[in-house]
Amino acid sequence: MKLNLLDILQVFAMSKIPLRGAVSIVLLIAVWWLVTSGLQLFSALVLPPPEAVFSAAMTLLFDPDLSLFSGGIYNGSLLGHAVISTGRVLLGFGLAVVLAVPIGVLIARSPKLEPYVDPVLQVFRPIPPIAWTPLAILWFGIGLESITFLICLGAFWPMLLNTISGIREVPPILGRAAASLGANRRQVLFTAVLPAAVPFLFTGLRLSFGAAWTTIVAAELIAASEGLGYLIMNARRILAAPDVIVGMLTIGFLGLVFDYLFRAIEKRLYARIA
Amino acid sequence: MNAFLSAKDVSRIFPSRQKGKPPFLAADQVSFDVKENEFVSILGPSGCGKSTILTIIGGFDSPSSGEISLRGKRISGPSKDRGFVFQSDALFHWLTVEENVGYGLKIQGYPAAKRKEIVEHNLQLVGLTKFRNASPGQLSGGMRQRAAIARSLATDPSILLLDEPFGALDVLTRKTMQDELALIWEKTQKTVVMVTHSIEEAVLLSDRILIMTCSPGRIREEIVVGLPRPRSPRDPAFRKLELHITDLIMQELRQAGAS
Ligand SMILES: Nc1ncnc2c1ncn2[C@@H]1O[C@H](COP(=O)(O)OP(=O)(O)OP(=O)(O)O)[C@@H](O)[C@H]1O
Ligand SMILES: [Mg+2]
Repeated sequence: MKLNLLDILQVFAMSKIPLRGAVSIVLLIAVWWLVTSGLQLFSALVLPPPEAVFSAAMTLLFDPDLSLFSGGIYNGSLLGHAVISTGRVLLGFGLAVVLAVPIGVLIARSPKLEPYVDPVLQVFRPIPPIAWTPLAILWFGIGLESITFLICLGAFWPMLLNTISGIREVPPILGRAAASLGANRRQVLFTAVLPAAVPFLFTGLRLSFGAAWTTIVAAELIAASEGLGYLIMNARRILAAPDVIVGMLTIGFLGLVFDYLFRAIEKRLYARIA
Repeated sequence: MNAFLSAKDVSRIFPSRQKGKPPFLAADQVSFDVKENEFVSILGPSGCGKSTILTIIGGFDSPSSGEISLRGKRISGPSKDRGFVFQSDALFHWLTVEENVGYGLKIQGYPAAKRKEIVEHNLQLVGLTKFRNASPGQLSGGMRQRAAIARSLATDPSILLLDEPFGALDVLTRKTMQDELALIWEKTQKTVVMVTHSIEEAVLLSDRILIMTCSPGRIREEIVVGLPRPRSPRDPAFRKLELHITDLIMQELRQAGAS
């Protein structure tokens, strides 16, 4: 499957984001400017004005040497932090998907398992990944393993739950039809049940990827010296509020871009379904 | 003569869905035989256990007691030997019509050339050659059901099980489909067990009709349709038989209501 820039742009163009979305974003920035620089309702220490955030972003993007966060292999550039964090998110997310899909399929396909598994899921699901930090450090030490573990935890639940409900929603007659045409249990799963569950699986992927981003700041609290989470927490430490906001908005922006990417892939993959 | 398909004292009790309610007897000691190349209909009002019986023949469910055997072998699970067309549309909506019809052949490992030939033949049989590349979502209800029939016929099962195949169609489409099924049956001479609650449909297509009644689901009556084919509902003998069956069912219903 080939995915080119045009497809992505097309999805952007077909959604209502560019026009109506731009209107609200401009409006938001206007209000932000009004309550800070305009009417001076908030001091720059509490809520920096848009122009301060903009100039912090410019420094981080183009003159990282001058920024407060130089160091590491990318010399502290915003792009460098973003690349590092994206890599970690992809790693944790990938691991979560690889684990959650088979486990979800297993749970959904064996009704006898449910009474055993369900309480366990309900107990572990509400625990936020950040609460696992001490254990993560004990188990995996300080480094990429712990970070990946925490992101994976965050991404795991949405993928698991969507896989389970996706498989359960598939009408039983599809599996029966496949079986009456000669499919064995494995073929029923791979050629009838899973393809029918694709829309749910994609929702799971998107939610799970979003959850991975949500976890990144908590995960990068663990002795990271690069990454957007590190950027944000370090900026807080030295009271550089504009840099905090640059980090936050970068995460938001990356989340948006990847969400569109997923939608574009899903559309391509599922174009046949009328 | 030894029966091709044989049901012996088949009962199916469903555990109650709500707590405190007694289990539900959906089929009660159902017995019947079907001969090879015979077209048999199971006719009865809604909810009297017709799908329950057919699902057990399909091997998707097992009887609480009794057994069904095909060629003397007890049915214990689904098999490519028993084609099934479902009450509601069960096409694979992510595949084209052609891929749907070829699905069973592919699963069973037929070589591509052979597959193509069989798919072509079956698409012609149900008149869907022009729609080979369409996706099920683009087809009308009647066309979807024809595609489902072609999909079941493609792997040449020894028996075809039809669960109200035209139940979801409008009257006109339904009539066309019935005539087409009659033609297909004459061409293929498949053994067919069809569930329906249309008396006319049963008389039009069947060699024999098993009449079921409700609560508990039982076979009350067996009617041999000896009318020559092709049949027409306009034929006085056809009408007479149809009325006779209607009377029978009404009588059963009254008795059930009185008791
Ligand atoms: N899995 C189940 N659990 C409990 N009850 C069931 C189950 N399946 C079917 N029943 C009940 O058994 C009865 C017979 O159902 P069945 O589907 O065989 O009827 P039917 O004759 O095919 O009706 P219709 O013409 O409406 O399709 C119904 O009353 C139904 O509610
Ligand atoms: Mg039914």
